[in-house]
Order: sequence, then C-alpha cells, then structure tokens
Amino acid sequence: MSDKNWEEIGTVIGSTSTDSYGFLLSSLKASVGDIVITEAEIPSPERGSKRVFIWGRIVSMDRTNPTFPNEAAAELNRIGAIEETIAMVGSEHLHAEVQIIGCTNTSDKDKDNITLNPLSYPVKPTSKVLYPDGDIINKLLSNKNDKDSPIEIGTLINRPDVKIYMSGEGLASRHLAILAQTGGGKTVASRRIITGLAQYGHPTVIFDPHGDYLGLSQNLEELKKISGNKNLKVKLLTPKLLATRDKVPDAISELVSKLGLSMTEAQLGVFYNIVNNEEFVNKLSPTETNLLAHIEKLQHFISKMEVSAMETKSLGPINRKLRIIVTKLENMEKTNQKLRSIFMKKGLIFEDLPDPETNPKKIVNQNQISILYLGGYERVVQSTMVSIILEHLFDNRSSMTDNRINAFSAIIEEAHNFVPSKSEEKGDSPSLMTIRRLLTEGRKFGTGVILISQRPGRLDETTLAQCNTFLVLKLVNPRDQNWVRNVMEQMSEQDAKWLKAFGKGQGFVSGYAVKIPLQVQIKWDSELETKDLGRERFIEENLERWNAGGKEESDEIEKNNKEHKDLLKKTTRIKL
Amino acid sequence: MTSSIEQKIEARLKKPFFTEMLVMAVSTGSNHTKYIEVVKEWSLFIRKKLEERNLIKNIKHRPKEFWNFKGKKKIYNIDGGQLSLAVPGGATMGVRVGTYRVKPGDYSKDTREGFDDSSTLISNLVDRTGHSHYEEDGDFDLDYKKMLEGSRMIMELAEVVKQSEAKGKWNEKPTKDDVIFLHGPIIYQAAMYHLSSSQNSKSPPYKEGFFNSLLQHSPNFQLDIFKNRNKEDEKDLRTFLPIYCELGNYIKNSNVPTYGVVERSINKSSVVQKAVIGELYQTKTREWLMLKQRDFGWSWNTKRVDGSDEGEKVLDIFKQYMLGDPNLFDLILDEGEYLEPIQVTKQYEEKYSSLDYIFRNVFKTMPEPHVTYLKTSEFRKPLRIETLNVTSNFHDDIDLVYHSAKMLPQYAFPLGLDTVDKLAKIPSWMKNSFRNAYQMQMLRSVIDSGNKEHIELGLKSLIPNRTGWNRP
Repeated sequence: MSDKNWEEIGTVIGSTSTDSYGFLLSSLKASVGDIVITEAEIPSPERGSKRVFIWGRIVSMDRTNPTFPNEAAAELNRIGAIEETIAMVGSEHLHAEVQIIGCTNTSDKDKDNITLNPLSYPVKPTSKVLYPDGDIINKLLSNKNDKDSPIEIGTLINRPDVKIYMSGEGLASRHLAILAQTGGGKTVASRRIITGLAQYGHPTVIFDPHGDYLGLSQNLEELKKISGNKNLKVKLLTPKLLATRDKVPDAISELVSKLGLSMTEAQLGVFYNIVNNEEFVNKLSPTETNLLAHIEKLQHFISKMEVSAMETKSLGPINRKLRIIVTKLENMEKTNQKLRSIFMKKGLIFEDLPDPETNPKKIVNQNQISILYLGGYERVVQSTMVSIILEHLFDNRSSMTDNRINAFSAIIEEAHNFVPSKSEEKGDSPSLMTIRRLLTEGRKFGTGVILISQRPGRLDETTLAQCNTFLVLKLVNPRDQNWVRNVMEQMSEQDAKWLKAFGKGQGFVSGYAVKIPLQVQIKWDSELETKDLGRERFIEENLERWNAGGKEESDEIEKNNKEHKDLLKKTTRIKL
Repeated sequence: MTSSIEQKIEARLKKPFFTEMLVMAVSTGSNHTKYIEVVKEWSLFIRKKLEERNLIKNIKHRPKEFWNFKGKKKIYNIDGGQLSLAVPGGATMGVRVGTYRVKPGDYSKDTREGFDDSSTLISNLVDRTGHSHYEEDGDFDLDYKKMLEGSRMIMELAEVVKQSEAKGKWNEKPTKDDVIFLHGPIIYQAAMYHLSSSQNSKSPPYKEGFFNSLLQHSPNFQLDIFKNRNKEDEKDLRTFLPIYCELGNYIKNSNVPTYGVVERSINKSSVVQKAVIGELYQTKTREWLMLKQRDFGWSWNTKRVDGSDEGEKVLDIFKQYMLGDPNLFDLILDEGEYLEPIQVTKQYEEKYSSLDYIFRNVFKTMPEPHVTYLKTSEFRKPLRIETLNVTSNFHDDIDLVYHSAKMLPQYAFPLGLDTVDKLAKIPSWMKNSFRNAYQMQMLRSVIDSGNKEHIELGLKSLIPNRTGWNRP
C-alpha cells in the first residue's frame, strides 16, 4: 500500500509532545474522530534513527475567521451573502488537536499485521499530516483477528470504509458495559453484539424487563441470515420460581431472605423448623415444581400443625409474610401473563422457564438465545429471579463436570435495577452479589456478562469497574458522564466532551475487546427492528377501546351512578 | 426653539472627548459655559455656510442595495506593519506591507479575494560602514525612528504603484472603475522624514536593491530628476525625499482612484479647517499658499463668507478653544455626511530650505492631497479621507468607504482596511525570529572582525537588561 495515495490535509504547528499535537487543517479534509498519520524520524534502539508513521485520532477542532469581526454580523444580516461585501471569506483557520495512538514502522505498511508501538519522541512541527486510506486503517485498527472470533460492531465514525470489530473471545470471557441515555442506541448496539455472538452459536441468556428483545424471536429468519447461523434458535421464557420437592425448603428460605422479608431470630428459628420438617416435605407432590404451589402447601401445613405456645407467637408473622409472598407472586404472574398475551397475539410463543438447577441445558445451549421476559414483576422479584437463575447456571458451569453447560453470555438490561449503587437506597438487591460474583469469577469459567444501562450513575461502581470493555453512546446527564469518566481510564477529556454530542448509534469503545479506544458508528441491523412489539401506544389503545364499546360502558356507569344515588336517598339508615 | 442640528451639536458636546477638552479648556482659564456656547455657535455657523454652498454631501445607508457589485469592481486595501529592534550598529528592521484585494459579488474562491504579502525587509536598509553609534546617542535614535517610519511610508506608496502596475500577485491592472485604499494619510509632511546625519551633510542612501524595488513603474518616471538622472546624482536619488515625491506623483497622475483613510487624526491637526476657512473667507494665507507658492488654484471657487481678516480670527478662535479638525467636523457633520473635497497644504517650504539643493527643488513637485471628512457613526469621530487624484468616481468611492465602515459599526472603520491590517501585522513569532537571526548574524560578524571593542559591544547587545551589565 503506497503512502503516496494518502492525501495531505494539513501541517503540524505549535508545541508537540509524545501524546498529542495540533495541526492546521485544510478545509473539509477531515473531521473529529478521523484517524490521521504523520511520518517522522525517531531514535531507534540501535542508537541510530528510523522512520515511522505516527498514528493519531482527531479529538477536537476549532474553526475561526480572524478577519471577520463579530460586529459585522448585524450589517451582514441586512445584506445577505457575505460574498457580496468586502469581507474576506477565505481566511478561516481550522485547527485540529490530535491524540496520538502510537507509531508503526514505515517498512511495515504493506504487511498484513501491523503492530502499534508507543511513541517516545515528539512529532516534528511543520510535518505534513496525511489522511490514510481505509485499507491500512483496517489493518491496524479493525481489530479483526480471525483467531479471536471477531464480531463486527460497525465502522469508525466518519469512515464507513473502516470496519471495527470486537473480540468475540474477549466478550465471551470478560465483561462489557453498554451505557447510553434513552434513544442513544443501546438496544441497536446490544442486538449487534448478540448477532455477533450468535454467528458463532455462542449461548446467550437475556434478562429482559421490558420486552425489548422479544423481537429477535419474531425476526428469527432475518437473524439467521445476518448471523449466518442457520441452526439458531430463540426461546422466549416465562420466569417461574421453581423447585423440586427436595429443594423446596432451601428455595422457600432463599426466597424469603431475597425478598427482604425480615424475621426476628425467634421467627427465623420457627420458620426453618417448619420448612425443613420431614412431615411437610413428604406431603409435597414429587412432580410439582412450581414454588408458589409449594408455598401454598406450606401455608396449609402451618394452619394444621400443632405447635408449642412459644412457637405460636411466631406463626402469625410467618404466615403474614408467606401471604405477602404468595399475593405478590400471584399478582405479578397475572400481570406477566397479561403482558405476554399481548405479545402472543403478535405470534410470539412463550415457554415456562426450565429449572435452572436441574435443567440448565434447556436454558443454556449451543446456537440458542434464551430471553427471560420479566415484565410485570416488581423490581425486587425481578432481581430475585435473576439472582436465583444466574447462581444456578454459574454453579453448574463452575462445577467443572463433564456434563456442565456451555460457556455463555448473560445480558442484563436495565442493569441499574439489578446492580444499583449504594446511593440508590434500593435496599436489598439480591442480584447485586450474584452478578458481582459472576464478574469477579466468571472469567475462569467463560460466563461473560453484558450490562446495559441508561443511567450509569445509578450503577454499582464496583461492578462497573469490573467491566473490561466499555461501549459508551450518548450521555447527556453530567452525573452519568462523570461516573463514566471515573471508571474508564482510557477516556480523555476531549472524548468526554463528545458524550453529549454523539448522534444515535455513535459512541466510544475501549477496553479489552478492542485494540485501541475508538469512536464508532454502530451497525444498524434494520431487519431486526420490531415495529409493533414493545412500543407503548396507549392513546391508540384508548381510542380502540372507546370505539369498541367504551362509550357505552361509560354511559352505563353514569346511569348506574344516578340510580345508586337515588336509591341512597330513599334508604333510611338504621342502627345496628 | 432650537433646531434639530443645534440639538445634535449640543448632544455631541457631551461625548467623552469633548468633556476632556472642556476640562483642558477650563484648566487654561476658559469659562465652562462660555466654552460650550462658543464652540456650539461657531459649529452651527460654519455648518450653515457649508450647507448654503452645497459643500456638505449626504450618503444614504442602504446596505442591501449598495452591495451589488457583481464581481466587477476590484478593491485594493493596503497596509503595513513595522518592526524595530533597538540594537546598535545598524538600522535592521522588519517591514511588511500587504494588499488585500477583493471583488465583492464574485463567488469564485479562486478569483474573489487574495492577499499579496509584499516586501518584507529584513536586511540593513542603509549602509553605515565607518559609523558606529551608541544607543545613548540622541541623534542616532531620532534618525533611526524617522528612517523606520519613512521607509514604511515609502513602501506603502510603492505598494500602490506595484499593484497599479500589476507587478504583484495579480497580473491584471486596476482600472478607473476600481479603487485603492491605503491605511493612513496618502501623503505625509515629507521633509521631516528625510534623514540627515549629524556627522555627514548628505543623508545615507538606501541600498540599490531596495531602491529599485520601489520603482515598479520604471522606466515611466514622473520627475525629471529620475527621467534624466546621471551617475553623480545616483546616491542622492536613493534617499527618502526624491523617491517619495516620485511615487506621490505617480499616484497623482494615475487614473486609478487612490485614497488614504485616516482613522485617528490627532485633535491638534488643523490642516483641513485652515483650508476650509481659507476657502470660505478667501484668506490671504490660503491665497498665497495655493496660488502663489504652489500654483494649485482654489478648490471650491465659492461665494465668500466674509473678509480675509475675519477668517484669520475664526482660525484663532478654533485654536484658542482647541477645536482641532476631528472635533470640529464631528460637531458639524451628521452621520452619512462628508465634506466636498478640499486641497490642503502639508508641505512647508521652510522645512525644505535647510536641505541640499537637489532636495529643496523636490518641494515644488511634491503633490498635495484633497481631503474630506466623512462621518460614518455618531459614536466615533469622522474619518479623514485623502486623495491625490480626485476622479469622477469620488462620490461613489466615498459611498464605498461609508458602507464598508458600516460593517464595523463599533469601530466605524472600513472593513477592508481592518482586514488587511490584521493580515499584514507582523506576527510575534516573526519578531522573535528577526531578533534571533539578527543577533546571530551580528555576533558572527563582530567576532570575525577580531576587534575587542566591537566584540564587547556585540556581547553587550545580547544582554536583555543593560543596567545589569553596567553595574559593578
């Protein structure tokens, strides 16, 4: 690849360093985020010198016209085009600031693999700045290493000819955080990564509180085409709290503790005695796995059992707590069912969640994407479910048995609800410790975690710091921006300024899964967009209801109200 | 009932620079109220007389309509910057003169506008072999500054000539429908810039290369001394006065309208009021200067206001009340008004009488400018605009100055000249490199000379604080 093809776009000026330099840029020749090159002579280890290409990324640009005074603007408004006047239009200065990425030997430019080295000698002022072609940037920055199961995530910002890849192995074994405000493109980005993992058949488990990913099932054929994996399956799972008979005592105890239903020590003692009571366990159906059914059985058992006077005092509170659990779970299940029915009308098929303890392979399997739809459940219950499911899956994976499940990636949407920061005061979040465990130990067992959140400021800092790769899209909230900057070592001040300026699908990627920090434009898989799923259309719904009979209904209610009032007037109040 | 112009004058008298004058006047014993009354009355009177004679012209502000040149007019804006280095042994300096040319209404990037960065002088202008001056020498200081100033003035005029001859960046000559603006007076009181050394009766000449670069219109010289020059006069020709006069005459005889625009005339200046009163009252002084001494004729040929003596009294009053040209015309003129151009006298015979024969004769041929004052803003003093050649485009060109100045409403100065001022200024990095380059060169030459005294002097010049060196 000849460097003679590289266009000269500017000249280095001012003081330079080994980290950065500034240059005067010719008009319209480059923009922020672009990769540029200067050629230089630097000292070589052999005490001589060698020629290198110094690679850098434009991180900021300033544009001024020193000959056009601001006070001329008012008169210019009356005139129209500035070209009609005596003002000088061509004296613009474009000054660009470049952050140096590293240097490569000029002799390596035609090689397939180019190694980036740190720069140890400043750029020479007056050097020419060049705009390299896409091929060489692809060689250096694309990060495509076929041994690493590369996943194409998009292109360099402003360089559609330069594709950027993340290391699939890096994502599978380590952890990624995708952070962006609402509308920033998080779902597009995560879908891209899911598609990339699906290309290799890597199992993925998605915890989906709002149904954002259910469309993957609807668009399965498109997903197969894009990923190139004909064997791909998408399972939509309804979360259930499950336990076989012998696991019931532990399961109920776990649920009570995870739901934060605090008991006194005395109550706890009584409770554990009851739940582990052999008579109780034997009464449980051996085929029943629904934990709710087992809890109802427990309630019944407690109502019939004979207890001592001391234990009687504890029974009331225990029963109350069990009633709370049952009521909550029943209501949430109903809500979840109603929400699912909306999706089912669109043709989606849901299955009951297999027991993650006894049947983990039905959840984690080669060529399978499992989506747990958590809609309708309260945050604490969602957190509990995620905690229980992930713990079982991780325990199985880390058991190191021959029969254990495959390595998998867990994708957690609305991650700030599952790993909240202390300042959120959300009380117990059972999933926090579980996910932390996965982040600290997951690398050994191939349980990679992908956290997705629009409010990084609400994420647990320790958890976020454990992430090895970051994909940060648009963030406007200053608290979120500061949070991200504190956690991401590789984010410079200029990069941070871009956080609020990014367009949809544009972001900053850095960390283990990429070679160097880059600004990227995420590839948008439009075929995977769902037009009607997951979109709230309440006004439309209200209108439909009204037209379908709502008007009659309200007339009826009004009529009943009047009759009711009239009746009340006639009725004489009597004392009981 | 006060007229509107009277009200305006009263309001103008409240401006800060009038308040300063008031304070000065009071401090010399003038009565505060009397000062205002006298100044107001005379301003009104002079304005009235000028109006009656149709000597005040008016421009209407119509920006959309005005800026409609369609790329057909070339406007040249010329300005220079100078750099002086206070070092002994030579007149080394940097002078850079630039031209910003623009064609309003031309949308082509290639032809619409450009900047011609002309002569950047970094070598010694004047050969001072055999002379050495210490910095404490007062004569040297005075000569040096004058020479610097004079060289800049010459180079600016030479730039006008160069552009008129298309010897610069552009190869098309300007025509009578184009215009050239120069930042500053079109011509100065020349004699004061002509150097004479206290040690030599003849002033040191410019170097030949520099001299030739100034005369881009060669061989079409204006003055006989250039046309018929001989070898003996060569060195005399290569001095300030003859060159300046030659260039001034070129501009005077050119058909390309050329103007000097002065943004900050000093209040003391009374050249224009002397001319105005001289013309209105047909004073004897004016008659002698214009008709007898210089053979120019009356500028206005207008009906007389009163006798010559009365005119001299008016000038005395203006002097007593410290009413210089800029303040007087600020009071008289409304925004958008300018004075019918009037020829003024800047060159005084007595300044030339002490010079050598060849330079005394130059006086007769030195052109005198026509001047007008144009008020572009009520918040700024009027601009003084000078020309050596009043053409039929005069009113249109003043209109252009006005509308260009309207583009800088606060500064009230033509935007084109403001632009070239920014472009032609010596950047600070160039100043430093000049100083460094000069010092290196000088040190090398004195060390090569082997002369202990010179070496000591050279080293002394490198020390930023000389008192540090002198202290025992």
